[in-house]
Formats: sequence, structure tokens, C-alpha cells
Amino acid sequence: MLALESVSAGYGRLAALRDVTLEVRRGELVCLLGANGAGKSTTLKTISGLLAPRSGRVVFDGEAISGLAAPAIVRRGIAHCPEGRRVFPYLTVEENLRIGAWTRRDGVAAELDAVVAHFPILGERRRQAAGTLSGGEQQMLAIGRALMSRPRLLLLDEPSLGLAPAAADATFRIVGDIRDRGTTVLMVEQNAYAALRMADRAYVMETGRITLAGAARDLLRDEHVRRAYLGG
Amino acid sequence: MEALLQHLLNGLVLGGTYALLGIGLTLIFGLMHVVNFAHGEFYTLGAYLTFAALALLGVPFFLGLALAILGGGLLGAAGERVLLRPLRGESIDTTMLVTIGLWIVLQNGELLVWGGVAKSIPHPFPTAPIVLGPVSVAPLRLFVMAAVLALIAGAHLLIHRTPLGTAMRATFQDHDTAALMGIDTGRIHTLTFALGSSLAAAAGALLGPIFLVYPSMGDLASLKAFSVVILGGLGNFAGAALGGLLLGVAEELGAGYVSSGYRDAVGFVIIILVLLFRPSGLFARAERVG
Repeated sequence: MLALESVSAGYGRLAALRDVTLEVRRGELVCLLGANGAGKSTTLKTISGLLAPRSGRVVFDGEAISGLAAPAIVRRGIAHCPEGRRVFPYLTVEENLRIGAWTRRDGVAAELDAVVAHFPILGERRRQAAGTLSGGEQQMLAIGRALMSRPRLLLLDEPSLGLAPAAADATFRIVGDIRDRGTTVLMVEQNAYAALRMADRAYVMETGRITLAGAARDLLRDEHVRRAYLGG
Repeated sequence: MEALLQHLLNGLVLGGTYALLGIGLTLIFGLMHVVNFAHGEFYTLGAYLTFAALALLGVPFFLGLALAILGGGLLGAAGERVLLRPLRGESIDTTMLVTIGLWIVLQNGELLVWGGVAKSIPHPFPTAPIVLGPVSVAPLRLFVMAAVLALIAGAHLLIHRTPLGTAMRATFQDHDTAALMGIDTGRIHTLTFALGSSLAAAAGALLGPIFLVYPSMGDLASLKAFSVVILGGLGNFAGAALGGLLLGVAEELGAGYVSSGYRDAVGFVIIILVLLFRPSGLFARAERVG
């Protein structure tokens, strides 16, 4: 469904991605692991069009999408839920959700109902400014907002970052649900153990390169992964 | 007492147009971080377009006003597309220099086309004032006040109650995330600049028939617009509306009770006081643009 072919990208003179090749198949939950600054978020930004690759191609459904602007990529069916949630703090919860469906003309009301049914707390807080929600609620809003565009591929950047353990668990359950209902997910996550337990496959990144790839359950047992990311 | 009411009424008419100018400027700054020194020229443009439509082409008064507002918006959109779009991401100083250039070009363009002699715009309202109890007001001024209120309400509804307005506020709050939602942020910038410019043109079109139209009239309008934005807090819509009314009323009271020669000075004294004691504006809130 999605493939990165030898993608390099960076900010200014700084190279953040070097020759990254990875693949996400339809229906999979794939996670991207690595330390801070390894290039995980940059990979997602390159897919969603916030950053143009310097070389290499991003292919989605058989067509090259590298070089397209972010709005064009949303229209193709990729939603990017950015790191730090990035809800619009002064818009209400409902306005945030509706903005998520900006690229769609019809079915918005039905989608809104579906998202609110899935996250009842967002329904209760409908008219509240998003900035007043708790971290866990903001994460639900950010995910709900991304789902409003009815993506076929959802990019999730650090969904558990900064959340209390209970809220993080709830977030992981939601991600599992989304995959089970047929949306393909590519997730960047610091909590390697939780991510590997739910993912189908995973890639490990170090200093802008993919250094390891495999089935999630194999990586859970991998000696290097255990030492570097699972704490022993 | 009667004099006071009369001054207040006059102040509201003047202040309403200040509010329009200030709202336009504050939207552009709040969304785009562009300090638009050419803002007053869109005010001048609105006045001259009204003059051209009414005095030269002979179109009906209200249609003339609408054309002037539309013309201001179109020129604003063109200016944004041609001059500012290529400078996205450049520093605020760079865009400031460009808007100063646009200011000079537009003002001298007006001088070239219309000459330096002031023009007056004909209007269909009777000149005899309407007497309302203790105060009297020219029908034209009453119309201007109503039109200003309608335009402010319309701009408010556009920004707060429509999908386009939500997208404008979202783009202001978080540019990259707005793009991730599929919002064409470049188009939002163009539309915002066009909206701000059309509000300035509306102020010029409405005040034109009350005062005279001349090429440098935009300079004072720019100063007033900046004053209003400082009063209301940068990027604050409601602040600009209230700040405009406040400035108009204060100037009118100053002119009435101190000396009409000090009219503009009163406004600037208030600005200096605000900058000294409440530098983020009288109505500073966390949210801007909205």
C-alpha cells in the first residue's frame, strides 16, 4: 500500500533521513522504533508532504506521491496525527473534528456521529475549547480528527507521549481498534514494548537509517532490540 | 449633556470606520504575521473606486459602494499572490519592506491617476439632519453607522460561524497541522489578505462621501488602524472592534471639549498610555484572530 524507496530528506543542510526504504501493507499495523532524533517523525512528515524528499520516492497505491503538497496527500487517503497531538487549542472540540473532514464534502455529519460514538468524552465536551481538555482527551481528539478524513492509511506520531499510564493504555486500545476495523496504521512510538506487542511488523531506525526490520514478535526477542529499547 | 450625546454619536460614526480599518489590519497581522503598511492605501482605493463609480460611471450609490469593497478585496488578493506569496517563511522585516514599497507605489499611483486636488463623492441622502431628541445626525452618517455595524457583524460571522472561518482560525493557530488537515493554507492567506483589504476599502468608501478624497488620505488611516490594533491587542478581532469605537469616541470628545486641533493628538496620547501600561492591548486575551 505504502512504500518508501531509498528516501533521503533533511532540514537545511542537516540530513535527517538517509536512504530509508520501508513498506506498509494493507491492513497492517507497522511501528517505527528508535531513539530521539533517529528520524522517525521526519519519516512521517516526508510521507504526509510536510517535507519533500531530497531523493528517492514515496509510493502510495502504486503512485508516486513524493513532492505533492500535504493537502493533496490527505485527499489520497493518508491522515497524519502529529506528535504532541497538535489540536487547535482555541477551536471547540467539534470545530477540531470538522476541520479534520476539510477535504470531504459529504458524509461529514455521519462521520462526526461515528467518531463521537467511538469517543463519548468528545461528545460531552463538544462545545469546549480543545485546549481545555486533558492530555488523554486531546489525544483522542487528535486521533478522532485524523479519522474524520476517513483515511485508508493513518500515520500516528508518538500517541502515548506525555500521557499518564492509564491514558496511554486507552490510547493503545484505540489504535488496536482502528486497525481491527480495517484502517492501515503506521505508528511511531517510544514505548517499544507496548508497540511491538500490538504491531504486525516493525522497523528500527538509528541516525536516519533503518537498521533492523522484521515481524514484531521476532523483534521482541531480538537481543539488540531488548538491550537498546526494552530495557534489558 | 446634549453636547456629550452629540459627541458620542459622532464618535461612534468615526470609530466604526476605525474599527473596520483595525479589524482588517489585525486579521492580516494575526494570520500572516505581515505588518501591512499599505493598509491605508486600500482605504484610499475604496474611496477613489467609489468616486469613480458614482461620479464618472454614474452607477447607483449602493452598487458603487459594493464595487469599491469588491475592488479592494480583489487588489488585496492580487497583492498577496504576487508580492507576499513568494516571501512565505521570510522574516517579518522583509515583508514589512515590501508592504512599505506597495504603500509608496499605490499612493503615487493614485496621485498620477487622479491628481492632487481633493474630490468629493456625491451621495443620495438628504443633507438636512434628522433630529433624535437631544441629538441631530445627518442621514448619511446614520447610514454609515448601520453599514459599519453590518460589515463588522458579517466579518465576525464569517470568521466564527463558517467552515472557511474555522479554517482561517485553524491556520492561524497551527499552520503545519492545518495543512495536514488538507487546508490549502496558501489560499487561506490570500483570502484573509483580501478580506482585510476589502474592510479597509469599505471604510474608505463609507467615509469618502462624508469627507474629501485625496491621494494621501490613507496615511492617517494607516496610523489610526495601527492605533486601533495596539489598543485592541495584536490579532484580536473583538479588541479591534472595541478599540476602534473607543478611539473614535475619545477623539470626538477631545475635539469637542479640548480643541478640535487636538483631535488626532488625543488618540495618540491614549496609544502612548496603553503602550506604557498595557503593552499587549486593552483587551488582551490568549486567543488571537477570533
